[in-house]
Amino acid sequence: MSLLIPVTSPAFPLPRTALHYDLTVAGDLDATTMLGLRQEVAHAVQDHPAIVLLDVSAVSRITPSGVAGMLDLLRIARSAGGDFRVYGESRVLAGAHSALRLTTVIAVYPRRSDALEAAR
Amino acid sequence: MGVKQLTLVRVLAVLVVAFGLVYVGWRWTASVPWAAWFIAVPLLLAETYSFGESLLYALTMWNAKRRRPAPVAPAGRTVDVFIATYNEPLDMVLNTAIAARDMTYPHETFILDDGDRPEFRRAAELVGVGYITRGPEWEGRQRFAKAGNINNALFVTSGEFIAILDADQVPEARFLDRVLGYFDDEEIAFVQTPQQFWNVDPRDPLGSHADLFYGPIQQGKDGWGAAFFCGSNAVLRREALMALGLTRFSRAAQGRMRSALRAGRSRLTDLLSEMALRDPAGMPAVEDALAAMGRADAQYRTGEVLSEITWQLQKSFHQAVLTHDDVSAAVVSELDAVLELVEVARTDQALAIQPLDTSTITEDMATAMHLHAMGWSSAYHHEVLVHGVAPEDAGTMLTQRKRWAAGSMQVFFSDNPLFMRGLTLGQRLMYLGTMTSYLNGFAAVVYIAAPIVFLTVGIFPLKASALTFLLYFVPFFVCCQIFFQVAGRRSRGLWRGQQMSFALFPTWIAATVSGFAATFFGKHLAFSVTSKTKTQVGNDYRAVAPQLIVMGLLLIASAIGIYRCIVGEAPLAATVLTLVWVIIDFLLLGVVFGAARYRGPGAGVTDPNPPTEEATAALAIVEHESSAPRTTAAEL
Repeated sequence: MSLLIPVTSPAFPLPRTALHYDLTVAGDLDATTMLGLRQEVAHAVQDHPAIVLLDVSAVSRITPSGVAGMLDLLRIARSAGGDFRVYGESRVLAGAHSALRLTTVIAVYPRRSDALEAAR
Repeated sequence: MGVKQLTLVRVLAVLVVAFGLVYVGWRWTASVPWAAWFIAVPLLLAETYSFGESLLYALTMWNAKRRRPAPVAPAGRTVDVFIATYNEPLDMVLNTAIAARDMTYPHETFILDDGDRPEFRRAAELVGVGYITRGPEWEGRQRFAKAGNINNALFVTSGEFIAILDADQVPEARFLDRVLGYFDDEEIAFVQTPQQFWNVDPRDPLGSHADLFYGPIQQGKDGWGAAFFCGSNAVLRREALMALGLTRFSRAAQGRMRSALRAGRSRLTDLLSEMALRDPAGMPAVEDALAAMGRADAQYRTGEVLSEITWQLQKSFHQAVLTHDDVSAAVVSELDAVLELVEVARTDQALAIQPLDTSTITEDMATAMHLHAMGWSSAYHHEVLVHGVAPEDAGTMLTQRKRWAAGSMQVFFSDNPLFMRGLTLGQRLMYLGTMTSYLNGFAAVVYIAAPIVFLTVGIFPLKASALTFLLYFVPFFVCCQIFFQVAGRRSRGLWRGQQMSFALFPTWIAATVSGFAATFFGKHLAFSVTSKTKTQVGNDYRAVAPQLIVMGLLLIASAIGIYRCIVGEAPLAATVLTLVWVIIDFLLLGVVFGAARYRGPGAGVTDPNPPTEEATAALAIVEHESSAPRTTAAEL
């Protein structure tokens, strides 16, 4: 598995016009939700590097499986040369990240545009 | 353990400790012939170690807990049952899978086939259970044996609870109903039930019955809040495992990136030096990458989010490759390797998070210990609900015991419970007791060497009269034996367990050395799957050759000692005492004869869960389908 191949543009690894996929999760972010998200992210980066954006603003409960699953989605996206970004104001996610000391590991952006811009 | 028995056990435990302290105190202060230090000191250390083990055993038994029946399993819980297999035969796995599927509490059953065998997939489909194997993301990655197999399944399933069964462990229909109620307590991370083997001869030559461990010892550990997870016949809470994986991940992430950045820079610097001669055209790209590493280092020092640092780094590396011509594939591959090294999302592995511990080959013990350190609790449910298969030959048994011991010692050296944050004192001692029990191999060597030295060259490792020695030693020894019998009442195989603990000294020593080498020298420890079928047909004396040699040496030494006594070169009392010692050594070591000759149970021992008609039919279909293409080809 290569993080550098395929190379997409001489200017940026992912051009500003690179494909991006929007995903939204509402209610519980748990093992069951993650099963679906995992398939969608894997599908999104299957043929080419892409930016996958996940809106978590409507998440009302998050479990360790949900947090672990998000880190695995990041791995899946980056293994394919793409990226996975999380955005949206979510107190439960912020709480979980803080409790698990993940605030310095993975960023959660307030808005979609911030997440997309940072990826580019 | 009832109240009366527990009281008796505690009284005996106090006596063992008291007599033990008196004996060991006397040994250290008044009985060491320092002139013969080369044998006297090892013997003193071995005896002190044995006393320490008795102390830990007494402590374990002190708190033996007999739990009340678990609350009734509430409806609505979601459970995934994992049957882990690698190379076990299909009929065995299918039998387990059907029994697991038929458990009464609603659940889903999955065969976790690490052998990726098409016939298993087909058979799973036929009997209506799920089939999970590793995906392409595992290719070229570390697989982490059984722990990796289960971790892989955890990310493609979603049940709140995970029941783990080895391929040969056939559950009763009530298994889940009996244990799920414990999880009403939200702090419970796992419930362990006993492992019981049906294919064991009544004489149990291989010491397979583990009634003492899956009884008083586990109950004792449970009393201290440290019931062990033993890898099978257990139910675990998914979220506890995931929380453990996340905690370990986040704790390691910062340190891992710091060292990865350092290693990456050093790797690129070395690459530049090499390229100056063989590939100067590619140097600018590597120089750019090195500059990017410097920026990443600065970002790390200022506390930037790790995933952002690695993303920036990936972008910079891309740019370095794309803006310079003539970057060879070898350089791209090297840059790729550095990126993977640094990437916080663990693109170097098949999973970002490893819920079950993957740092040792005894993933069960390590996982349980880390869960306890996080504040989770556990329960030992003392009721046989699963029936499994024990090794049927000495070689397989020794391989299995060596894996347990090597893994435990690996954890002892790398994650010593005495220094692990979060464990209570009781939990520390319970883990320590199990791990240090494998150091008994070294003590056994001393207990064998000391009489040989005296009988052959006349150097006695004690400076005391035989009577004084007996006065100090016998009360301690007798108390220990009575305590062992009382604490292990109703447990089969107490004597066999003592024999095995002593006679398998080469295995324990080899395992300790392997665990040490794996921890401090990075030597690979192989996870050898215990064969569930007989691998040896005839006698297997080769497997116990070290013990046979030692017994030969003891015999020769005894003959020399008797001769020396007869001709007046050795004192009678010391010679008699030493010969009694040799006899005890023989009684303990003698277990290897039966083990080497063992060929499995007799016809009287039958499988309590013989293959069902459904299993037989599924096997026939799979066999037919597997052979059909070959038949067609032959006909053509």
